[in-house]
Amino acid sequence: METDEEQGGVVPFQLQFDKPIASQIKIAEWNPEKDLLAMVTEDSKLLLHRFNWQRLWTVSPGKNITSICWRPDGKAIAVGLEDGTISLHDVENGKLLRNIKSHSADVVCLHWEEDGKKDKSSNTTSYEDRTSRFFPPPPRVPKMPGLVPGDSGFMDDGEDSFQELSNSSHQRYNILCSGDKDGSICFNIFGIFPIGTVNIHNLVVSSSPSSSNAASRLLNASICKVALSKDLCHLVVLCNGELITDEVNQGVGHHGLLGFHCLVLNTSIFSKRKTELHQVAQQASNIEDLSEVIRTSLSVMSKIWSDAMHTFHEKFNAVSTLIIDHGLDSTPQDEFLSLLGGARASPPLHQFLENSLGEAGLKRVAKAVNGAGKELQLIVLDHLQPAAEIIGFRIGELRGLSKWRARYKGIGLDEKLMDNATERAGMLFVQVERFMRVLASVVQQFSNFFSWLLKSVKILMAEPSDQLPFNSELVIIFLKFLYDQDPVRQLLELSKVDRSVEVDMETMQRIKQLEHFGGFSDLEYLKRTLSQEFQQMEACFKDAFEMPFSAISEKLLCKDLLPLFPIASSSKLKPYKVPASVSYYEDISHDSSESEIHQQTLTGYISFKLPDDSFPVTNYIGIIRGLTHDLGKADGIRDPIEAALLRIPDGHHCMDLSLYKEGQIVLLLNDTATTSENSGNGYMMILQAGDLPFVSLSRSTAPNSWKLHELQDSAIYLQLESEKVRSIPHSVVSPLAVSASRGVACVFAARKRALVYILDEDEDEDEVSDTE
Amino acid sequence: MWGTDLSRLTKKLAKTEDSHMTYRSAHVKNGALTEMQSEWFSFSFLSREAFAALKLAEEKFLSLSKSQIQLVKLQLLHDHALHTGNLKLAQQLCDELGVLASSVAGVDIEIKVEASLRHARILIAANQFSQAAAVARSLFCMCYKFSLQVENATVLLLFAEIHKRSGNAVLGIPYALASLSFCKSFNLDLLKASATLTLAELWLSLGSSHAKRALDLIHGAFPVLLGHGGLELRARAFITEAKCYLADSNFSVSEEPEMVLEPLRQASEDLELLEAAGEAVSYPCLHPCYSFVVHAPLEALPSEIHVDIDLDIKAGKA
Repeated sequence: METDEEQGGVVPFQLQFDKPIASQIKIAEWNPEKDLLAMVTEDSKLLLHRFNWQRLWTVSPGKNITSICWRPDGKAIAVGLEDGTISLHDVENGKLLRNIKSHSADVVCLHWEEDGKKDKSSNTTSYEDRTSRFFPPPPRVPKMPGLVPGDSGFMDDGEDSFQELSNSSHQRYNILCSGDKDGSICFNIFGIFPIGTVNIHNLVVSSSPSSSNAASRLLNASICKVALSKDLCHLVVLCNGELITDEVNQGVGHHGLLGFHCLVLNTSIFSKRKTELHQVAQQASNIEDLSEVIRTSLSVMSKIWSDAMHTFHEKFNAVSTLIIDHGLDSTPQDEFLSLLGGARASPPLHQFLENSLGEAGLKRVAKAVNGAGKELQLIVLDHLQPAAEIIGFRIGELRGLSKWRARYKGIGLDEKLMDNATERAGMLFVQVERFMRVLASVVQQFSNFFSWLLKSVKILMAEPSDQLPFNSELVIIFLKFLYDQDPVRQLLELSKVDRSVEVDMETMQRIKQLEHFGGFSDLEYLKRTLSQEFQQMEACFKDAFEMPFSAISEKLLCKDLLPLFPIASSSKLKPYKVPASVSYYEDISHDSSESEIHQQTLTGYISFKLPDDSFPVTNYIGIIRGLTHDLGKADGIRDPIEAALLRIPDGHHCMDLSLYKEGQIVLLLNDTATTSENSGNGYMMILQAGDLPFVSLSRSTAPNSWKLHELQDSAIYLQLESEKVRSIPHSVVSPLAVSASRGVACVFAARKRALVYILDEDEDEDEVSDTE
Repeated sequence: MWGTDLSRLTKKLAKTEDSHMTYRSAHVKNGALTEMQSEWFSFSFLSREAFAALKLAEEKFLSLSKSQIQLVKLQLLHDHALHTGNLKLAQQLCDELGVLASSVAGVDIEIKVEASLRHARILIAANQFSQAAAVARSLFCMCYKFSLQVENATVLLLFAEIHKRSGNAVLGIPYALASLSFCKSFNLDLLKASATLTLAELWLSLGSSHAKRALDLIHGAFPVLLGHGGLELRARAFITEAKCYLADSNFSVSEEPEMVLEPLRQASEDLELLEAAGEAVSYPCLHPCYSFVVHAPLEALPSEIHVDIDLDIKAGKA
């Protein structure tokens, strides 16, 4: 087809530009929706570049970045770090949206897949998130006081997009899966809500249906690549490790196959229980967001209040020292009380009011305390209370869902735990109300006390003091209960000692009566502080959400395993990086007209470069398809797995490869004859993998052996001349970043250059302008 | 094995209405004998919790007009009487409820509406559909006159209910739809779910070819129905779901018995609870209007039937 043109000297793939880069790139990924390229440098900086190579932002997480992956809508990027954290960043400004710690080792691969299918039966599945109809937009996290103004200005910019991004209500159902060095794979809906985990060491594969007594397991495995199919029904895992077979009849057993393996996990639960999981994740992730709002609110309030109280005590502690200095035996409260009673101010108090405090000092303290009180009230009204309210509503929705046992029991939504969580959410709400009341009364008493004191100071100074009303009863109460106690702080702080809040008999009685009207069954809840209540609520939520997590995890089973190629045992210790790519294509040729089922089947293509030390002959590329085929079909009948070996011509070797759209493979080759540093050309080529003569692999004989060895004879020699090849005037290195949706590729040269090519042939007409 | 059990069970479900009636008439006779004591007697029927709560409320709200508590008490008693099929007592309680309202036109509208609604329900229960429709019509006029939108939706649903019970599903559907659109515009989610359920029942009674549509409707309303609905509403939803499955010709009970048994089991659980608790716990506290809906229809099974369901389930398991 194109070959004629190529021979005629037409160069495929238009070069967009060739730019120098500051440092070597180790990972690169194109945004699926926009022409943006995210790159990770060797020193673990995350860069985002536009198609015109303009840099948008740089983020350095401070830890080693081990993998990146875009959210399918292109609005956020997930970054896997060496400590097992996955952090989500906003595409607009690189702002950190969220950290999820689900792994304990390097997150070496990430894959984020969106549910591709449009809902056909939308009337059954459509589920409305009613929250937006009944509540104003959810509150944001309050700002910590004392932030640098410039910093907060930046925050303001990102605030709106933050809201939109972290709000999962508008998102389509998607799942982020991540694999780590130690072999565990985690699944997060929306990238936020953990829904399952599986460790490949714990998977047992019965290698063939006929011999059921042989089961294989993996030892010392580490994951290289995970790829979830578009219909979310299965997951392909590429990993290296030792495959051992436990023979029940003590046969040959325990012979390990050390090398690369390909696992297929059955994740059809994600597809089958899609609506249910979507709903649960939507509510739960929002609840988690709001919990974060409450958590931050509590800590911010605690900080503001303790600062204010610190100011107050700093000033007023002088009274007691002065009393001791004067050799008196009384408390500050007594002194204040006698002053209130009409007596003359005692010498220490006199000295305190006139000298150490003074009118200005008093006003300053009053302002600090009142200001803090107002700020606290604002935080409660704008953040804490609405968040508690919406949490209550959302958990109530989940509780409703949990009652639908036929649908939701299967995914682990437990009625009892949900009931409990709902009750806790209600209690928190009552606690917030109580806190508000306590706060209001404390603030009022403080200001009353201060105005009385101000009046006293004015009298002492013989100044006019008629415009200062105060209530002497309240002053007495203040001195008695508030002067050296702090009920606000008590409610806010998490004391390690189990200090319970005093609740009077009458209230307890009322709580008991309320239980008859459907009130909370836990009668002791008012004895807890606000923070304790919040802590308990979080624990309850955790319990409740743990259930779906474990229920789903149990349903993720290994479906198939295929040993790919051995690796030398010496190289076992170091992390093994093999250029590999997994992609799924809608199969048109395979399931043709005779099948009436309209569901198009997906064929998974797995392509990888065989390492040189694993094979007797070097320079091979393997392509496997059909591993994921038989999922929809009845057990026992399995489609054959097909494989093809591709031999790279001598004088070249493969640097990286990537599957492109419609069954095409993009290969990145280098000249092997790089004698001097200047010479050495790279090549990028596309070939149609689907057209290669695939050979089916036998399943029955010798379940655990390197099947690709069988294929050596049928290997195909790659003819550079007959394919679409473009020569690159540099020696190239991995990674090769190819975007199937945008039709672009970015190649990095060994000498710190980045080259962007347009792969789509539609723009071929521009090739005259291509000077290279 | 499963199949025979279930077909027996479904036959029983279909016969529910007849047996319900005989059960009810027996009860009415009984009630006539003890009519003098009936009111006092029925208090002991009420669950202990509801009674205790009422007593507490009486103590707490001494200052409040006594009629408020009296109203709630009468509502509870009326519900109970209706559930047990004691229509005479129900009518008496309903009349008492109506007396609580002032005789001046345009005053105490809520109580008057409530009394009429309950009156209509009694008439439905007594299979006097044309009278029920007449009451409902005058009720609708009243609601329209005083622009009580929420009650309007409830009355429309009542019409749908009357048509459904009288076996005229085609006439009932427009009313259910009108009620639905009312609910949508006023954000009455629970009432909307309840209207959806009635709509599903109407579709189902049009024939098994509509079973799929009915099932879709019910499943759409399930989250709200189960999360916020009262016991009776929930039980009704489960029973209708099971009926939908059974009506579907593609569905085979012997293959997936749990699909039918699980909802039936949950329905019987709810109904048992309803009987034990005397409906006291099922009041959603959102809005008084919800209580009308929750206690709306009269498909509560007499106790013998759902004991049978239970037995059948156990027998099937063994």
